[in-house]
Amino acid sequence: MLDSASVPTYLSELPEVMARLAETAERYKVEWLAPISEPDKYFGPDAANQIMQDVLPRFDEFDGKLVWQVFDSVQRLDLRGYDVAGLAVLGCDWDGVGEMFDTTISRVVDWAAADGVTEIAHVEFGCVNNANTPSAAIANFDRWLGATSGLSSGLIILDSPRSAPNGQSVVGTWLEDWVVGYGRDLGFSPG
Amino acid sequence: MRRGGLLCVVVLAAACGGDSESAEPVQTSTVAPTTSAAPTTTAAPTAAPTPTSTATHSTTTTTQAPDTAPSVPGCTDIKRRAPAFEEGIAEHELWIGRLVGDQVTDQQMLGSGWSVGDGFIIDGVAHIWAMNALDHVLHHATFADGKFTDLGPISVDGHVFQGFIDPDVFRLPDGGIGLAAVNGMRTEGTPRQPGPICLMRSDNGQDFETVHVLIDESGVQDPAVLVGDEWVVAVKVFGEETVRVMVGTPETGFEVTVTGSGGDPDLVVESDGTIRLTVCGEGMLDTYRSPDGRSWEASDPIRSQTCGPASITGSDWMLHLPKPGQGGALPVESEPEEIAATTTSTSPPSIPTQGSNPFSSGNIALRDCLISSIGEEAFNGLAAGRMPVGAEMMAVGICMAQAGAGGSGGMPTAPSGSSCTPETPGGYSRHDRPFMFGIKAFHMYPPGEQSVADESDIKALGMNTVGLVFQIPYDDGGHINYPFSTFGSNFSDLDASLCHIGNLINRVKSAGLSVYLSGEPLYYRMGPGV
Repeated sequence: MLDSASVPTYLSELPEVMARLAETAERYKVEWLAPISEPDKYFGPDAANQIMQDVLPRFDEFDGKLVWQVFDSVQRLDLRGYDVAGLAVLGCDWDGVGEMFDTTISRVVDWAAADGVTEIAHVEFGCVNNANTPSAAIANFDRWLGATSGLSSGLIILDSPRSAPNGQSVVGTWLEDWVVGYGRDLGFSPG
Repeated sequence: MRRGGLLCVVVLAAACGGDSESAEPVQTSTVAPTTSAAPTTTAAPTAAPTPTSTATHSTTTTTQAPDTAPSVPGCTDIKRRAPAFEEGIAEHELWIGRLVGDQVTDQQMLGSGWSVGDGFIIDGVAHIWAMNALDHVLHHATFADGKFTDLGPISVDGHVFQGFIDPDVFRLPDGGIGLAAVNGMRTEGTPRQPGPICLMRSDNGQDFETVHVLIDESGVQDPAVLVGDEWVVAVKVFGEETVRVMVGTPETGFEVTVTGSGGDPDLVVESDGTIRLTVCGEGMLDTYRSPDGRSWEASDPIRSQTCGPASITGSDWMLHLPKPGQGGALPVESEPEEIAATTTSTSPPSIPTQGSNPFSSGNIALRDCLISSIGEEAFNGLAAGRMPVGAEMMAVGICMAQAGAGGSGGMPTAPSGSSCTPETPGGYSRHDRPFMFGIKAFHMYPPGEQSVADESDIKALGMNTVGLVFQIPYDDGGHINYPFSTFGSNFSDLDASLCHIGNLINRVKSAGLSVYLSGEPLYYRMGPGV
């Protein structure tokens, strides 16, 4: 994690990289782009708000959708200028009803509405670690997705790297069954 | 704190203690100065079934402070974060070995994605508490019969969350398991400093409760604790390669008795009752000894190139954190002036310390890689025997791993941006899908790292999208820094990194998938070949 003392330096050098990233993303017709994912985690909410607004002009030539992927900030985040408010709901089987992610979803949905961001999406969803109780995870999934039903325009499932101990993979696990079933409910057929 | 010299004694006023009104006091009437830190012996942990009955999985998992949680300003009132993957330690490797003479031997890697840890023996089994990258939470584990068993994340005051780092564990006077850890970063001050060092207690090693602030001094981290009539606490000064040792009690406060250079301090009581302080030194582990924590003398170093030492109290086992891909602690047989100092968070890539010169060995892949990275003139200097310096060291680490001249070995050849040519975009367009249904697959590299290997695997799930990551590397000063390596990929500069991600996007787009691309900061010196 970036040392807080290093954040200003990093942010001062970031715009140049952002411009190059925008060029590459446009060249290859990327659909969705988060300039920095979860900047509230890396920089804190104030600096995140600042840099996410500062870099916007660098993406003027990018014709895809810009995503503001939120970590878990309680402090108000400024989502103006972005196309998609991204949720990172990784509560797996350990977060409960009315707890962290229920409130995070509600907060981000409210911010998006207030800032004129018309799309909500689950851009990082599922489990970091292997679920101890898949049925509890599935119940959570249903509740979180239900909370954005009719609002969400995307669902990206996390596939934890295998080098990470106890990471939750998708293929070959209970999560694969859930993913395929959920996709079928939405009309997606395995290819 | 150079080897062979004495620590300079600096007695300062106490600067700690916490809020005595709100803190729950530690029992002090039965303090036994030498029983809480068992003497080091040569006996290995005996075989025993794992997990033990005293360690159970935590079942309390919320992140909001409960109404019944103790209120300990500085420890319970700082924002708690949901468990989340922490890339900064994702490639750390936690190793265990025996300390025999001046060497760490009989080594075994416990796991990658594990970082700073500590432990002691309970009922013949080595119990270990260490940070895990997947959730950035301290996990409880056991090590017995060569098997490392993760018992899951600990809870504090009934909740599992990320925030506490740099754990040190020990027996409390009442028999409970004590945990000292840094409570994240303070919210005030510029730059922000590490949070207070908090003391927690557990009966089973899995579920802890906050007791009180142990050290409320700004800018210190990595605590090591010995409990006795007087407690001895060693800490590292944030942002410096400096260690402080303090003596006192939680009730009366602590005074600084010595300061010196080094990092990642570890304290243990030897079989003769002397206290040994072990710190990361210049290419090996420096040690100091004291009868009481107040007066210290340098002693023979541990001639192993590693860092993050943490003795498993009650055994001769030592946890340590060598450079990723190094293959454990390397023996050091001569004075290592040319070997870079190492610390847990800033260790440079491995470089050779003895034997033949690999730069003149005729390894063409190594030669070509180095010339492309540092230039022919600089390479010729290395081949002539000059030691790598500065940025050259990074290039050496990367190239040696790639060329199989040391380092990780066994991994598939990593993408190297230095030879990357941007591909012409295929004939695809930007999709305007009503719903993006996909999987976050990072870089889809190295092979086997994700459960989805390629585009066909993603389509087989019924998906239309892949989430990819473009990492933006930073160095210790916060500068965006190249070359960098991550997840087995090595990039010489921004162009190379963009070229690689662009070509990957081109590949998956050509297969008909949409892309969600996210920029993510990453420490630039992740281990090569991992």
